[in-house]
Amino acid sequence: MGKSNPSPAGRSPAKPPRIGPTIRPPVAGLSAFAGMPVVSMGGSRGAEVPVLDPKPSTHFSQAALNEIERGAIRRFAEAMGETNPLYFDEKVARAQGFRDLVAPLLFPLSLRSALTLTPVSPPNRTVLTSEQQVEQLEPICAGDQVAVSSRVVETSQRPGNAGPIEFIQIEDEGRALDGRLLFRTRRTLIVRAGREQPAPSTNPGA
Amino acid sequence: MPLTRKIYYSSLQVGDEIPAWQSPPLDRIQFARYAGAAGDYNPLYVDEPFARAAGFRSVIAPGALGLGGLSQMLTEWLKGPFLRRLHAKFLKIMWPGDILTCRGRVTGKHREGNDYRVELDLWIENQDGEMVVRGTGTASLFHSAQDESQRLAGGPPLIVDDPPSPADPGSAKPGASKGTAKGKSKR
Repeated sequence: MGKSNPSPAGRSPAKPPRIGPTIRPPVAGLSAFAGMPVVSMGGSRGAEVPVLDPKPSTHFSQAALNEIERGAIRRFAEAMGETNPLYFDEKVARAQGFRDLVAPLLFPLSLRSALTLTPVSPPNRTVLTSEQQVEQLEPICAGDQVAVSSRVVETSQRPGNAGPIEFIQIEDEGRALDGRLLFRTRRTLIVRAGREQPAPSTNPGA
Repeated sequence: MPLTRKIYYSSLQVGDEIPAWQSPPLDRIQFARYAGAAGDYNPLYVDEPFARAAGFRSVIAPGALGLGGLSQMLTEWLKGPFLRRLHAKFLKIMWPGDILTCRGRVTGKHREGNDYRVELDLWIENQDGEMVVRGTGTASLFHSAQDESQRLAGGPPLIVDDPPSPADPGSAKPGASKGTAKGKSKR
């Protein structure tokens, strides 16, 4: 399991799948990922593979294609409190030599590899981000297509009051369709058991 | 464009401080907006009963909003999107109502090909003076106004190597001549 993506690290497949994800039943067994639906990018039927190898690996998952929309750039820039017109007005961006609206540095945080299509929030656990890094190698603009893939860089465990605390570092990379590296992000997640085993609250009576 | 002077590589020195930037008080709407825009639906950001049941006193701010504050500080300072890389460690939880003061300092500069890069130490304090985020960043700047106008006109970049400081050649690296660069490595 998990060794099913033989492509060497750093080379994304020439044709990332266009089709939406298939969400499958939760993974059992692996504690940090327990309860997380496995998302696999639809390809030919039966060819579904767990997209992310939960074990540390130098191999990236199969890439998911992200189409960069103007509205998504604007909404993200607004959410981050950005005010630069390059992120909001394509005329300004073009006048400064860009193809279209420019995505802010942090925009890749909103892009999805197959892994992050689902919220990383296993039941009865809380997830905190302890560390985050974003690096853009080239500007990303509206209209671009970016193939995003993930890998687990390392995991570790430490005993805690309410059970083991797990640390997971995940790296994402985004590439243009010709394989050029556009961005890299890393985040370290701390997964621990909730004190009272909370489940997301629902409407009364639901 | 803004009347304030633009920051160029040639005008920066190691040890220069970045003008601090202060956020408005963090609010829950902002957390929800972030969750939606980033697709990061961690219930700790938006679901108060969940957060309480998990032992927190309220919902907590997404760490990425700290990165957002640093990015805004740098965009204001540099007058443009010249930021290449941001890294942050989230040392303490940021709560609704917190007022964040973002700060930073230049720790290095070097040319890499056509790229004039500036390395930065960055941090965020809350209203109680506690350091809640600590990080680093890299910006890539125009060397100077001449470099900028040349490139924007479609011309070649200006290639200039940092001269050793004229007063004291040879001491560009190890020299203790710049008192400001000292004592910055608090780790």
